[in-house]
Amino acid sequence: MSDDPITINNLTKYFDGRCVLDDISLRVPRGCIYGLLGRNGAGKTTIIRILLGTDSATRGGTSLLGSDSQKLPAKLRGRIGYVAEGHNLIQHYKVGRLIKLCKDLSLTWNEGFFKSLIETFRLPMDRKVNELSTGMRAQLNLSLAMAIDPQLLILDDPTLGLDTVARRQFLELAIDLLQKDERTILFSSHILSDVERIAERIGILAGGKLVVDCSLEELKNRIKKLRLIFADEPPDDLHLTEIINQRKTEHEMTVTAANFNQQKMAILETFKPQSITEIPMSLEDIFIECTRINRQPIMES
Amino acid sequence: MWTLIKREIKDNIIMFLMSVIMAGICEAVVVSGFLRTDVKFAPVGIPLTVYMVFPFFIISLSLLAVAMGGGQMYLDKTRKISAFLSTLAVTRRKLLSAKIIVGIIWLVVALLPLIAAELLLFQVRPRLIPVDYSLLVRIYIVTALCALSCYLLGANLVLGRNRITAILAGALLCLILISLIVIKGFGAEIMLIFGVTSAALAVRAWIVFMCIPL
Repeated sequence: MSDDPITINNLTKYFDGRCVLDDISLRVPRGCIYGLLGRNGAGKTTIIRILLGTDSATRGGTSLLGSDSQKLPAKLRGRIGYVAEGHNLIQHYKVGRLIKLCKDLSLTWNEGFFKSLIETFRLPMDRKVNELSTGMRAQLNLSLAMAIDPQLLILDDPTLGLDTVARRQFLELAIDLLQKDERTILFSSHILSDVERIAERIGILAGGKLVVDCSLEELKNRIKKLRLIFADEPPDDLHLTEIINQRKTEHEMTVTAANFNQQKMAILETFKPQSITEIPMSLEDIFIECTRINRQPIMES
Repeated sequence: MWTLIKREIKDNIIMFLMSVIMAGICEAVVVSGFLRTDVKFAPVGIPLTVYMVFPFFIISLSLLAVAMGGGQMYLDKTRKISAFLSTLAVTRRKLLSAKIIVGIIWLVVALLPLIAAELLLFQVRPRLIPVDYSLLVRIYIVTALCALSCYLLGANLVLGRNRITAILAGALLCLILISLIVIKGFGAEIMLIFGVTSAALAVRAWIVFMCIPL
Protein backbone atom coordinates (compact mmCIF):
# COMPACT_ATOMS: atom_id res chain seq x y z
CA MET A 1 0.00 0.00 0.00
CA SER A 2 1.16 3.53 -0.78
CA ASP A 3 2.05 6.11 1.84
CA ASP A 4 -0.19 8.66 0.12
CA PRO A 5 -3.46 9.28 2.01
CA ILE A 6 -5.51 8.87 -1.19
CA THR A 7 -4.64 6.32 -3.86
CA ILE A 8 -6.77 5.38 -6.84
CA ASN A 9 -5.54 2.57 -9.12
CA ASN A 10 -7.10 1.91 -12.53
CA LEU A 11 -10.56 2.67 -11.23
CA THR A 12 -13.40 1.81 -13.58
CA LYS A 13 -17.09 2.10 -12.77
CA TYR A 14 -20.08 1.15 -14.87
CA PHE A 15 -23.66 2.18 -14.11
CA ASP A 16 -26.30 0.22 -16.05
CA GLY A 17 -23.80 -0.62 -18.77
CA ARG A 18 -22.59 2.99 -19.06
CA CYS A 19 -18.95 3.68 -18.25
CA VAL A 20 -18.81 6.55 -15.76
CA LEU A 21 -15.17 6.22 -14.72
CA ASP A 22 -12.68 4.77 -17.15
CA ASP A 23 -9.36 3.51 -15.80
CA ILE A 24 -8.62 6.38 -13.44
CA SER A 25 -5.39 6.46 -11.47
CA LEU A 26 -4.59 9.18 -8.99
CA ARG A 27 -2.46 9.81 -5.91
CA VAL A 28 -2.91 12.65 -3.46
CA PRO A 29 0.19 13.24 -1.34
CA ARG A 30 0.09 14.01 2.38
CA GLY A 31 -0.72 17.63 3.22
CA CYS A 32 -2.04 18.44 -0.25
CA ILE A 33 -5.30 20.22 -1.08
CA TYR A 34 -6.51 18.47 -4.19
CA GLY A 35 -9.25 20.08 -6.26
CA LEU A 36 -11.30 17.60 -8.26
CA LEU A 37 -13.18 19.28 -11.08
CA GLY A 38 -15.63 18.03 -13.63
CA ARG A 39 -18.98 18.85 -15.18
CA ASN A 40 -22.24 17.51 -13.75
CA GLY A 41 -22.24 13.73 -14.04
CA ALA A 42 -18.50 13.58 -14.71
CA GLY A 43 -18.08 11.11 -11.84
CA LYS A 44 -16.67 13.28 -9.03
CA THR A 45 -19.19 12.07 -6.44
CA THR A 46 -18.83 8.48 -7.66
CA ILE A 47 -15.06 8.62 -7.07
CA ILE A 48 -15.64 10.00 -3.58
CA ARG A 49 -18.29 7.39 -2.77
CA ILE A 50 -15.96 4.59 -3.90
CA LEU A 51 -13.12 6.13 -1.88
CA LEU A 52 -15.31 6.13 1.23
CA GLY A 53 -16.52 2.59 0.59
CA THR A 54 -20.18 3.55 0.23
CA ASP A 55 -20.08 2.29 -3.37
CA SER A 56 -17.95 -0.33 -5.07
CA ALA A 57 -15.72 -0.21 -8.13
CA THR A 58 -16.39 -2.31 -11.22
CA ARG A 59 -12.61 -2.69 -11.68
CA GLY A 60 -9.56 -1.32 -9.98
CA GLY A 61 -9.21 -0.20 -6.42
CA THR A 62 -8.89 2.74 -4.07
CA SER A 63 -7.31 3.21 -0.69
CA LEU A 64 -7.56 5.83 2.04
CA LEU A 65 -4.86 6.33 4.66
CA GLY A 66 -3.15 3.19 3.42
CA SER A 67 -6.15 0.90 3.77
CA ASP A 68 -8.42 -0.56 1.09
CA SER A 69 -11.54 1.65 0.87
CA GLN A 70 -13.88 -1.34 0.94
CA LYS A 71 -12.33 -2.64 4.17
CA LEU A 72 -11.68 0.59 6.04
CA PRO A 73 -11.51 -0.16 9.76
CA ALA A 74 -13.44 2.05 12.19
CA LYS A 75 -10.28 3.60 13.62
CA LEU A 76 -9.30 4.88 10.15
CA ARG A 77 -12.84 6.00 9.33
CA GLY A 78 -12.71 8.04 12.52
CA ARG A 79 -9.79 10.01 11.11
CA ILE A 80 -11.61 10.96 7.90
CA GLY A 81 -13.93 13.97 7.83
CA TYR A 82 -16.53 14.01 5.07
CA VAL A 83 -18.86 16.72 3.85
CA ALA A 84 -21.37 15.26 1.40
CA GLU A 85 -22.90 16.86 -1.64
CA GLY A 86 -26.37 18.04 -0.63
CA HIS A 87 -25.37 17.57 3.02
CA ASN A 88 -27.27 14.32 3.55
CA LEU A 89 -27.25 14.30 7.30
CA ILE A 90 -29.97 12.41 9.15
CA GLN A 91 -32.74 14.74 8.14
CA HIS A 92 -35.41 13.85 10.72
CA TYR A 93 -33.07 14.28 13.71
CA LYS A 94 -32.87 17.44 15.76
CA VAL A 95 -29.52 19.18 15.44
CA GLY A 96 -28.68 18.47 19.09
CA ARG A 97 -29.42 14.75 18.72
CA LEU A 98 -27.37 14.49 15.54
CA ILE A 99 -24.41 16.20 17.20
CA LYS A 100 -24.65 13.87 20.20
CA LEU A 101 -24.78 10.83 17.91
CA CYS A 102 -21.73 11.97 15.94
CA LYS A 103 -19.88 12.78 19.16
CA ASP A 104 -20.68 9.37 20.67
CA LEU A 105 -19.56 7.60 17.52
CA SER A 106 -16.34 9.55 17.03
CA LEU A 107 -12.93 8.46 18.24
CA THR A 108 -11.73 12.02 18.89
CA TRP A 109 -13.92 15.06 19.41
CA ASN A 110 -12.52 18.56 19.66
CA GLU A 111 -15.29 20.08 21.80
CA GLY A 112 -13.70 23.54 22.02
CA PHE A 113 -13.23 23.85 18.28
CA PHE A 114 -16.70 22.44 17.60
CA LYS A 115 -18.34 24.90 20.00
CA SER A 116 -16.52 27.80 18.37
CA LEU A 117 -17.81 26.65 14.96
CA ILE A 118 -21.37 26.26 16.23
CA GLU A 119 -21.24 29.74 17.75
CA THR A 120 -19.78 31.19 14.56
CA PHE A 121 -22.50 29.60 12.45
CA ARG A 122 -25.24 30.19 15.09
CA LEU A 123 -26.78 26.77 14.56
CA PRO A 124 -30.06 26.12 16.46
CA MET A 125 -29.88 22.90 18.51
CA ASP A 126 -33.64 22.42 18.88
CA ARG A 127 -34.54 22.44 15.21
CA LYS A 128 -34.75 19.41 12.96
CA VAL A 129 -32.05 19.07 10.32
CA ASN A 130 -34.61 19.16 7.50
CA GLU A 131 -35.91 22.48 8.83
CA LEU A 132 -32.50 24.11 8.35
CA SER A 133 -31.62 26.02 5.20
CA THR A 134 -29.13 24.44 2.78
CA GLY A 135 -26.50 26.86 3.99
CA MET A 136 -27.05 25.94 7.64
CA ARG A 137 -26.98 22.23 6.79
CA ALA A 138 -23.67 22.77 5.01
CA GLN A 139 -22.31 24.57 8.05
CA LEU A 140 -23.49 21.80 10.36
CA ASN A 141 -22.00 19.14 8.10
CA LEU A 142 -18.72 21.01 7.95
CA SER A 143 -18.63 21.54 11.72
CA LEU A 144 -19.23 17.81 12.33
CA ALA A 145 -16.49 16.88 9.86
CA MET A 146 -14.03 19.35 11.41
CA ALA A 147 -14.79 18.41 15.05
CA ILE A 148 -13.11 15.00 14.75
CA ASP A 149 -9.75 16.63 13.97
CA PRO A 150 -9.55 14.77 10.67
CA GLN A 151 -6.29 13.66 9.18
CA LEU A 152 -8.02 13.55 5.82
CA LEU A 153 -10.94 15.75 4.83
CA ILE A 154 -13.11 14.88 1.84
CA LEU A 155 -15.39 17.64 0.67
CA ASP A 156 -17.90 16.90 -2.08
CA ASP A 157 -19.06 20.23 -3.47
CA PRO A 158 -19.27 21.62 0.08
CA THR A 159 -19.97 25.22 -0.81
CA LEU A 160 -23.03 24.39 -2.91
CA GLY A 161 -25.92 26.45 -1.57
CA LEU A 162 -23.81 28.72 0.61
CA ASP A 163 -23.95 32.48 0.31
CA THR A 164 -20.79 34.46 -0.41
CA VAL A 165 -19.99 35.21 3.24
CA ALA A 166 -20.52 31.61 4.37
CA ARG A 167 -18.47 30.38 1.42
CA ARG A 168 -15.60 32.64 2.37
CA GLN A 169 -15.85 31.54 6.01
CA PHE A 170 -15.78 27.93 4.91
CA LEU A 171 -12.71 28.37 2.71
CA GLU A 172 -10.83 30.16 5.44
CA LEU A 173 -11.68 27.34 7.84
CA ALA A 174 -10.45 24.75 5.38
CA ILE A 175 -7.17 26.64 4.97
CA ASP A 176 -6.94 26.96 8.75
CA LEU A 177 -7.37 23.24 9.15
CA LEU A 178 -4.73 22.44 6.57
CA GLN A 179 -2.20 24.59 8.33
CA LYS A 180 -2.41 22.18 11.28
CA ASP A 181 -0.01 19.27 10.92
CA GLU A 182 -0.01 17.46 7.59
CA ARG A 183 -3.67 17.26 6.76
CA THR A 184 -4.90 16.31 3.33
CA ILE A 185 -8.03 17.66 1.66
CA LEU A 186 -9.84 16.29 -1.38
CA PHE A 187 -12.15 19.00 -2.57
CA SER A 188 -14.61 18.65 -5.43
CA SER A 189 -16.47 21.71 -6.56
CA HIS A 190 -18.30 23.44 -9.37
CA ILE A 191 -17.14 26.83 -8.13
CA LEU A 192 -13.79 27.17 -9.81
CA SER A 193 -12.82 30.35 -7.99
CA ASP A 194 -13.06 28.40 -4.70
CA VAL A 195 -10.83 25.66 -6.05
CA GLU A 196 -8.41 28.21 -7.45
CA ARG A 197 -8.27 29.86 -4.05
CA ILE A 198 -7.36 26.81 -1.99
CA ALA A 199 -6.23 23.91 -4.19
CA GLU A 200 -2.61 23.07 -4.80
CA ARG A 201 -3.22 20.25 -7.24
CA ILE A 202 -6.00 19.92 -9.77
CA GLY A 203 -7.67 16.93 -11.35
CA ILE A 204 -10.17 17.40 -14.16
CA LEU A 205 -12.60 14.64 -15.07
CA ALA A 206 -14.10 14.57 -18.55
CA GLY A 207 -15.82 11.74 -20.35
CA GLY A 208 -14.98 9.33 -17.56
CA LYS A 209 -11.23 10.02 -17.81
CA LEU A 210 -8.94 12.06 -15.63
CA VAL A 211 -7.72 14.42 -18.33
CA VAL A 212 -5.69 16.67 -16.03
CA ASP A 213 -3.74 15.76 -12.91
CA CYS A 214 -1.03 18.27 -11.98
CA SER A 215 -0.35 21.24 -9.75
CA LEU A 216 -2.42 24.39 -10.30
CA GLU A 217 0.74 26.35 -11.06
CA GLU A 218 1.84 23.81 -13.64
CA LEU A 219 -1.59 23.72 -15.22
CA LYS A 220 -1.61 27.46 -15.70
CA ASN A 221 1.95 27.51 -17.02
CA ARG A 222 1.66 24.62 -19.39
CA ILE A 223 -1.73 25.14 -21.00
CA LYS A 224 -1.64 27.96 -23.52
CA LYS A 225 -4.27 29.39 -25.77
CA LEU A 226 -2.92 31.14 -28.87
CA ARG A 227 -4.59 33.27 -31.49
CA LEU A 228 -3.02 32.95 -34.94
CA ILE A 229 -3.95 35.50 -37.63
CA PHE A 230 -3.40 34.50 -41.26
CA ALA A 231 -3.48 36.61 -44.41
CA ASP A 232 -5.54 33.91 -46.15
CA GLU A 233 -7.59 31.03 -44.85
CA PRO A 234 -6.00 29.18 -41.89
CA PRO A 235 -4.30 25.93 -42.95
CA ASP A 236 -6.16 22.64 -42.62
CA ASP A 237 -3.03 20.66 -41.92
CA LEU A 238 -1.93 22.43 -38.77
CA HIS A 239 -1.21 19.56 -36.41
CA LEU A 240 0.49 19.71 -33.03
CA THR A 241 0.73 17.11 -30.34
CA GLU A 242 -1.42 17.61 -27.24
CA ILE A 243 -3.88 20.03 -28.85
CA ILE A 244 -6.80 20.40 -26.48
CA ASN A 245 -8.96 22.52 -28.69
CA GLN A 246 -8.67 24.12 -32.11
CA ARG A 247 -11.10 26.47 -33.82
CA LYS A 248 -10.85 28.52 -36.95
CA THR A 249 -12.72 31.36 -38.59
CA GLU A 250 -12.06 33.20 -41.86
CA HIS A 251 -8.53 34.44 -41.10
CA GLU A 252 -8.08 33.37 -37.56
CA MET A 253 -7.30 30.18 -35.70
CA THR A 254 -7.29 29.66 -31.94
CA VAL A 255 -5.28 26.75 -30.62
CA THR A 256 -5.28 25.50 -27.04
CA ALA A 257 -2.42 23.14 -26.35
CA ALA A 258 -0.91 21.42 -23.36
CA ASN A 259 2.82 21.39 -22.60
CA PHE A 260 3.38 24.32 -24.90
CA ASN A 261 7.09 24.99 -25.57
CA GLN A 262 9.51 26.56 -28.05
CA GLN A 263 9.38 23.55 -30.36
CA LYS A 264 5.64 23.85 -30.71
CA MET A 265 6.00 27.58 -31.27
CA ALA A 266 8.55 26.88 -34.03
CA ILE A 267 6.11 24.45 -35.68
CA LEU A 268 3.36 27.08 -35.60
CA GLU A 269 5.71 29.64 -37.15
CA THR A 270 6.34 27.35 -40.15
CA PHE A 271 2.72 28.02 -41.18
CA LYS A 272 3.67 31.70 -41.49
CA PRO A 273 0.89 33.39 -39.58
CA GLN A 274 0.80 37.19 -39.61
CA SER A 275 0.74 37.20 -35.82
CA ILE A 276 0.68 34.83 -32.84
CA THR A 277 -0.72 36.20 -29.59
CA GLU A 278 -1.30 34.42 -26.31
CA ILE A 279 -4.79 34.69 -24.81
CA PRO A 280 -4.61 34.75 -20.98
CA MET A 281 -6.55 31.88 -19.40
CA SER A 282 -8.21 31.65 -15.99
CA LEU A 283 -8.83 28.27 -14.36
CA GLU A 284 -12.40 28.54 -15.61
CA ASP A 285 -11.18 28.96 -19.21
CA ILE A 286 -8.83 26.00 -18.81
CA PHE A 287 -11.64 23.92 -17.32
CA ILE A 288 -13.99 24.73 -20.21
CA GLU A 289 -11.32 23.90 -22.79
CA CYS A 290 -10.39 20.65 -21.08
CA THR A 291 -13.94 19.39 -20.65
CA ARG A 292 -15.18 20.37 -24.09
CA ILE A 293 -14.16 17.44 -26.29
CA ASN A 294 -11.19 15.66 -24.83
CA ARG A 295 -11.28 12.07 -23.72
CA GLN A 296 -7.54 11.45 -23.44
CA PRO A 297 -5.22 12.61 -20.65
CA ILE A 298 -3.97 16.10 -21.40
CA MET A 299 -1.62 16.73 -18.52
CA GLU A 300 -0.20 14.40 -15.96
CA SER A 301 2.78 14.87 -13.70
CA MET B 1 -22.11 -0.44 19.37
CA TRP B 2 -24.35 0.62 22.25
CA THR B 3 -24.80 4.04 20.61
CA LEU B 4 -25.91 2.38 17.37
CA ILE B 5 -28.30 0.07 19.24
CA LYS B 6 -29.83 3.00 21.14
CA ARG B 7 -30.22 4.91 17.87
CA GLU B 8 -31.98 1.95 16.21
CA ILE B 9 -34.35 1.54 19.17
CA LYS B 10 -35.25 5.25 19.20
CA ASP B 11 -35.79 5.30 15.43
CA ASN B 12 -38.01 2.22 15.55
CA ILE B 13 -39.87 3.10 18.72
CA ILE B 14 -43.24 2.92 16.89
CA MET B 15 -42.60 -0.73 16.03
CA PHE B 16 -41.74 -1.42 19.67
CA LEU B 17 -44.98 0.26 20.76
CA MET B 18 -46.97 -1.76 18.22
CA SER B 19 -45.51 -5.02 19.46
CA VAL B 20 -46.26 -4.03 23.07
CA ILE B 21 -49.87 -3.16 22.13
CA MET B 22 -50.28 -6.44 20.27
CA ALA B 23 -48.81 -8.40 23.18
CA GLY B 24 -51.04 -6.39 25.56
CA ILE B 25 -54.18 -7.37 23.65
CA CYS B 26 -53.15 -11.02 23.77
CA GLU B 27 -52.39 -10.74 27.49
CA ALA B 28 -55.79 -9.18 28.14
CA VAL B 29 -57.51 -12.07 26.37
CA VAL B 30 -55.42 -14.63 28.26
CA VAL B 31 -56.00 -12.99 31.66
CA SER B 32 -59.75 -12.62 31.06
CA GLY B 33 -59.85 -16.28 30.07
CA PHE B 34 -58.17 -17.24 33.31
CA LEU B 35 -60.40 -15.07 35.45
CA ARG B 36 -63.58 -16.63 34.17
CA THR B 37 -65.05 -19.11 36.62
CA ASP B 38 -66.08 -21.55 33.88
CA VAL B 39 -62.53 -21.80 32.54
CA LYS B 40 -62.27 -24.56 29.96
CA PHE B 41 -59.09 -26.51 29.40
CA ALA B 42 -57.91 -27.83 26.10
CA PRO B 43 -57.02 -31.54 26.10
CA VAL B 44 -53.34 -30.65 26.55
CA GLY B 45 -53.90 -28.89 29.83
CA ILE B 46 -53.79 -25.27 28.64
CA PRO B 47 -56.86 -23.04 29.13
CA LEU B 48 -58.80 -22.79 25.91
CA THR B 49 -58.51 -18.98 25.70
CA VAL B 50 -54.72 -19.25 25.85
CA TYR B 51 -54.85 -21.84 23.12
CA MET B 52 -57.16 -19.67 21.03
CA VAL B 53 -54.93 -16.63 21.30
CA PHE B 54 -51.90 -18.30 19.72
CA PRO B 55 -53.01 -18.21 16.05
CA PHE B 56 -53.73 -14.47 16.33
CA PHE B 57 -50.48 -13.92 18.21
CA ILE B 58 -48.32 -15.87 15.73
CA ILE B 59 -49.86 -14.25 12.65
CA SER B 60 -49.75 -10.70 13.97
CA LEU B 61 -46.25 -11.10 15.45
CA SER B 62 -44.94 -12.53 12.18
CA LEU B 63 -46.49 -9.76 10.09
CA LEU B 64 -45.14 -7.15 12.51
CA ALA B 65 -41.73 -8.83 12.32
CA VAL B 66 -41.72 -8.50 8.51
CA ALA B 67 -42.67 -4.84 8.95
CA MET B 68 -39.94 -4.36 11.57
CA GLY B 69 -37.16 -5.88 9.43
CA GLY B 70 -38.36 -4.19 6.26
CA GLY B 71 -38.99 -0.87 8.02
CA GLN B 72 -35.53 -0.78 9.53
CA MET B 73 -33.90 -1.27 6.12
CA TYR B 74 -36.38 0.89 4.23
CA LEU B 75 -36.00 3.93 6.48
CA ASP B 76 -32.27 3.43 6.38
CA LYS B 77 -32.28 3.38 2.60
CA THR B 78 -34.62 6.31 2.00
CA ARG B 79 -33.13 8.55 4.69
CA LYS B 80 -29.56 7.56 3.77
CA ILE B 81 -28.83 6.91 7.43
CA SER B 82 -26.27 4.15 6.91
CA ALA B 83 -24.63 6.23 4.17
CA PHE B 84 -24.13 9.00 6.72
CA LEU B 85 -23.15 6.74 9.62
CA SER B 86 -20.63 4.84 7.52
CA THR B 87 -18.70 8.08 7.05
CA LEU B 88 -18.16 8.21 10.82
CA ALA B 89 -16.05 5.76 12.82
CA VAL B 90 -18.50 2.95 12.06
CA THR B 91 -18.19 -0.06 9.79
CA ARG B 92 -20.98 -1.75 7.84
CA ARG B 93 -20.52 -4.81 10.04
CA LYS B 94 -21.36 -2.78 13.14
CA LEU B 95 -24.31 -1.10 11.42
CA LEU B 96 -25.91 -4.41 10.45
CA SER B 97 -25.08 -6.07 13.78
CA ALA B 98 -26.83 -3.21 15.61
CA LYS B 99 -29.90 -3.62 13.41
CA ILE B 100 -30.14 -7.37 13.95
CA ILE B 101 -29.56 -7.04 17.70
CA VAL B 102 -32.38 -4.50 17.87
CA GLY B 103 -34.58 -6.86 15.85
CA ILE B 104 -33.94 -9.60 18.42
CA ILE B 105 -34.58 -7.18 21.31
CA TRP B 106 -37.86 -6.24 19.63
CA LEU B 107 -38.81 -9.90 19.42
CA VAL B 108 -38.01 -10.44 23.10
CA VAL B 109 -40.05 -7.35 24.04
CA ALA B 110 -43.02 -8.78 22.10
CA LEU B 111 -42.73 -12.29 23.53
CA LEU B 112 -41.60 -11.92 27.12
CA PRO B 113 -44.62 -10.14 28.65
CA LEU B 114 -47.01 -12.76 27.33
CA ILE B 115 -44.82 -15.65 28.51
CA ALA B 116 -44.40 -14.00 31.93
CA ALA B 117 -48.14 -13.33 32.25
CA GLU B 118 -49.05 -16.91 31.40
CA LEU B 119 -46.49 -18.44 33.74
CA LEU B 120 -47.70 -16.19 36.52
CA LEU B 121 -51.34 -17.05 35.91
CA PHE B 122 -50.60 -20.78 35.81
CA GLN B 123 -49.01 -20.40 39.24
CA VAL B 124 -51.73 -18.33 40.92
CA ARG B 125 -54.80 -20.00 39.49
CA PRO B 126 -55.66 -23.47 40.78
CA ARG B 127 -55.55 -25.94 37.92
CA LEU B 128 -57.94 -28.82 37.41
CA ILE B 129 -55.51 -30.71 35.20
CA PRO B 130 -51.73 -30.29 34.90
CA VAL B 131 -50.40 -27.80 32.36
CA ASP B 132 -48.29 -29.23 29.56
CA TYR B 133 -45.28 -26.93 29.93
CA SER B 134 -43.26 -28.73 27.27
CA LEU B 135 -45.95 -27.91 24.70
CA LEU B 136 -45.97 -24.29 25.83
CA VAL B 137 -42.20 -24.09 25.48
CA ARG B 138 -42.37 -25.62 21.98
CA ILE B 139 -45.11 -23.20 20.95
CA TYR B 140 -43.04 -20.22 22.08
CA ILE B 141 -39.84 -21.49 20.45
CA VAL B 142 -41.66 -22.03 17.14
CA THR B 143 -43.35 -18.61 17.45
CA ALA B 144 -39.99 -16.93 18.13
CA LEU B 145 -38.22 -18.72 15.28
CA CYS B 146 -41.09 -17.97 12.88
CA ALA B 147 -41.02 -14.28 13.84
CA LEU B 148 -37.22 -14.21 13.50
CA SER B 149 -37.46 -15.71 10.01
CA CYS B 150 -40.12 -13.15 9.11
CA TYR B 151 -37.99 -10.31 10.51
CA LEU B 152 -34.99 -11.37 8.43
CA LEU B 153 -37.27 -11.92 5.44
CA GLY B 154 -38.49 -8.31 5.68
CA ALA B 155 -34.92 -7.04 5.93
CA ASN B 156 -33.86 -9.08 2.91
CA LEU B 157 -36.77 -8.02 0.74
CA VAL B 158 -36.12 -4.31 1.21
CA LEU B 159 -32.43 -4.67 0.39
CA GLY B 160 -32.50 -4.00 -3.32
CA ARG B 161 -36.20 -4.10 -4.17
CA ASN B 162 -38.87 -1.46 -4.60
CA ARG B 163 -41.43 -0.79 -1.89
CA ILE B 164 -44.51 -2.41 -3.49
CA THR B 165 -42.65 -5.62 -4.42
CA ALA B 166 -41.18 -5.80 -0.94
CA ILE B 167 -44.57 -5.39 0.81
CA LEU B 168 -46.36 -7.91 -1.40
CA ALA B 169 -43.57 -10.47 -1.39
CA GLY B 170 -43.07 -9.97 2.36
CA ALA B 171 -46.73 -10.58 3.20
CA LEU B 172 -46.97 -13.59 0.88
CA LEU B 173 -43.78 -15.29 2.06
CA CYS B 174 -44.66 -14.54 5.66
CA LEU B 175 -48.03 -16.29 5.26
CA ILE B 176 -46.30 -19.26 3.63
CA LEU B 177 -43.94 -19.49 6.62
CA ILE B 178 -46.87 -19.32 9.06
CA SER B 179 -48.79 -21.97 7.12
CA LEU B 180 -45.87 -24.34 7.68
CA ILE B 181 -46.84 -24.35 11.36
CA VAL B 182 -50.34 -25.55 10.40
CA ILE B 183 -48.79 -28.35 8.35
CA LYS B 184 -45.97 -29.36 10.68
CA GLY B 185 -47.30 -28.43 14.13
CA PHE B 186 -44.93 -27.45 16.93
CA GLY B 187 -42.39 -30.25 16.64
CA ALA B 188 -38.63 -30.33 16.17
CA GLU B 189 -39.01 -30.47 12.40
CA ILE B 190 -40.60 -27.02 12.16
CA MET B 191 -37.99 -25.63 14.55
CA LEU B 192 -35.30 -26.94 12.23
CA ILE B 193 -37.04 -25.46 9.16
CA PHE B 194 -37.35 -22.01 10.79
CA GLY B 195 -33.81 -22.24 12.20
CA VAL B 196 -32.31 -23.01 8.79
CA THR B 197 -34.49 -20.35 7.12
CA SER B 198 -33.38 -17.74 9.67
CA ALA B 199 -29.71 -18.67 9.27
CA ALA B 200 -29.93 -18.53 5.47
CA LEU B 201 -31.73 -15.18 5.52
CA ALA B 202 -29.25 -13.75 8.03
CA VAL B 203 -26.30 -14.83 5.87
CA ARG B 204 -27.91 -13.35 2.77
CA ALA B 205 -28.71 -10.06 4.52
CA TRP B 206 -25.10 -9.92 5.75
CA ILE B 207 -23.59 -10.55 2.32
CA VAL B 208 -25.91 -8.08 0.55
CA PHE B 209 -25.51 -5.34 3.15
CA MET B 210 -21.71 -5.61 3.07
CA CYS B 211 -21.56 -4.77 -0.63
CA ILE B 212 -24.63 -2.71 -1.63
CA PRO B 213 -24.14 1.00 -2.37
CA LEU B 214 -25.24 2.96 0.69
